[in-house]
Amino acid sequence: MSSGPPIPVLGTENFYADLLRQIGGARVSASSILNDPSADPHEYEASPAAAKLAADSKLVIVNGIGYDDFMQKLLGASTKPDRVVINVQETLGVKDDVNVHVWYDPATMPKVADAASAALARLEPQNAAYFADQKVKYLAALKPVNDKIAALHTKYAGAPIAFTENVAGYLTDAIGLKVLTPPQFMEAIESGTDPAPADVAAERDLITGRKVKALLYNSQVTSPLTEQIRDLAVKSNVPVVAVAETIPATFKTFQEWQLAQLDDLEKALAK
Amino acid sequence: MDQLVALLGYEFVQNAIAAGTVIAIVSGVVSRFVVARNMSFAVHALGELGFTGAAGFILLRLSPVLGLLAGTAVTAVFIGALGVRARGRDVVVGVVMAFGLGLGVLFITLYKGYANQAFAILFGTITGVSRADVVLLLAIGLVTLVSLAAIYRPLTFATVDPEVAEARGVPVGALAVAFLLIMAAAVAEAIQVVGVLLILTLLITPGAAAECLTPRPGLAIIYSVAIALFCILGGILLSLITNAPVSVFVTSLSFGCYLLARFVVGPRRRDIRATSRPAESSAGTTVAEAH
Repeated sequence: MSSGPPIPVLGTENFYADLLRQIGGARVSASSILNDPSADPHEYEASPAAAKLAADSKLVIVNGIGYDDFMQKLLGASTKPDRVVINVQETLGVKDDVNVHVWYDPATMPKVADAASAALARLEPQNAAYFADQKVKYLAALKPVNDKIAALHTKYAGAPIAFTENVAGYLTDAIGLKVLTPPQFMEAIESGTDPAPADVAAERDLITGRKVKALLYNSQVTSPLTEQIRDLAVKSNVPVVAVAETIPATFKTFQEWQLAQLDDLEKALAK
Repeated sequence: MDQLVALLGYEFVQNAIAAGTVIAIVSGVVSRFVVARNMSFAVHALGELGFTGAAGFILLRLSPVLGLLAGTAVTAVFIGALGVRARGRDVVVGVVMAFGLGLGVLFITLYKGYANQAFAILFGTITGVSRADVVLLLAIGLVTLVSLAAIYRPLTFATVDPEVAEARGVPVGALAVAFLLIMAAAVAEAIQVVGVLLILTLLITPGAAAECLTPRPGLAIIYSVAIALFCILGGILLSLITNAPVSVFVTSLSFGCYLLARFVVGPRRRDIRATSRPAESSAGTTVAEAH
């Protein structure tokens, strides 16, 4: 591996920065912009530091699907013809109206890893073999997560659960869990509008009637209504599993975080 | 300081300063009329209903930016048509805004995708201005200022004394709608760049501070532009030094300017001149309804 100053790279969300850190290894210095688990990623005013990161980075990963539209502006404000931008929405080839939390889909990160190692190899062709090697390690570290998903699938496929918001939907689909929460309820929570009274009633009935094995609760973006639903679950003895949008500071890697959430889910389903 | 000097070399910083300057000049001028015509609440409504327009266009799979323009323009026409006179206009604005926001919620509910694109339009970021944005801002700014200049005399007359102006045959109603449309263009263009929060600050506060400083309309425009420029350029610089968001500083600086103008500089000037025109005694109360 040839050395030199590390390549400045930016993962807009911290799980993409983590991916760049794992694949770029010693050759990159990775930063992220959305990394505060208590902040709402949807309401964000870019600071000069964030704009500077966008201006300085040679490789940028954005999620797309409307999750980080501000990045288009930040990148547009600093022209840099040699900058490589990986738009995950384009990498996956999905439309604007899919669930935005694509990083919860087990199929997503391997594709982003491919794109990232290819992009790094283009920036530093002499280290292409190193990046390819690092990618293999990244994928190997994902294996325990995928094994866990497969194990949960065998044991709990078809089990009913409830959401406050469709954050981990791709993951629970992979496990085969049945989400009973009305889709309109989740859409309303996600877009910050009022859910229809009938949908709120349906969601409450799922919990008070204990028709679900667990409530998956978005711990990062909360509202009085979602907090009420969570409290109701606690009172009704329905296990609550907190899921976050970005990696909380307590976890070192994406894999560690996903595994911990899956462990929590397993405990809840086993009750 | 080193950080500041390094940052000033960045394209995004230069774009922010250029865009900020254009927006400050346009909003400084428009702000003077917003305050004199008691239209702070209308500014707020235009900002909010730009969101409804964007949401509606997203639902129809059209450009949210065009939706924003359509939203502010339609709102301007409605407010102008229903509430020409200052008296009762707040009620009209409130009625139109409530209905418009309700429509916005409906559009968001009907849209099946990730609706935050519509919200994102209200959170423009001044650190994310491209060269093309600066050129567009400049063009719209010029159109706004030229249109204002074209109706300046009758608009000033209709603003200072609407009854007399109307009696003399000045088309007060048409002027009101024309001014609202100018405001709509200013709001729609600048919102994408600086966000709804800075629009409110820049279109209301400089004019309000200037009104405390002088009763003369022409001079008030100059004060208003100077205050807007000071706030936005000072806000950008402070943000570069401290790394806190620009809007925090722009809103704080302009609030400081307003307090200073209203309670320190303004009263002293009035003492010196020892005049007590009725127009002056009402100065400052015009922003009380802004929220």
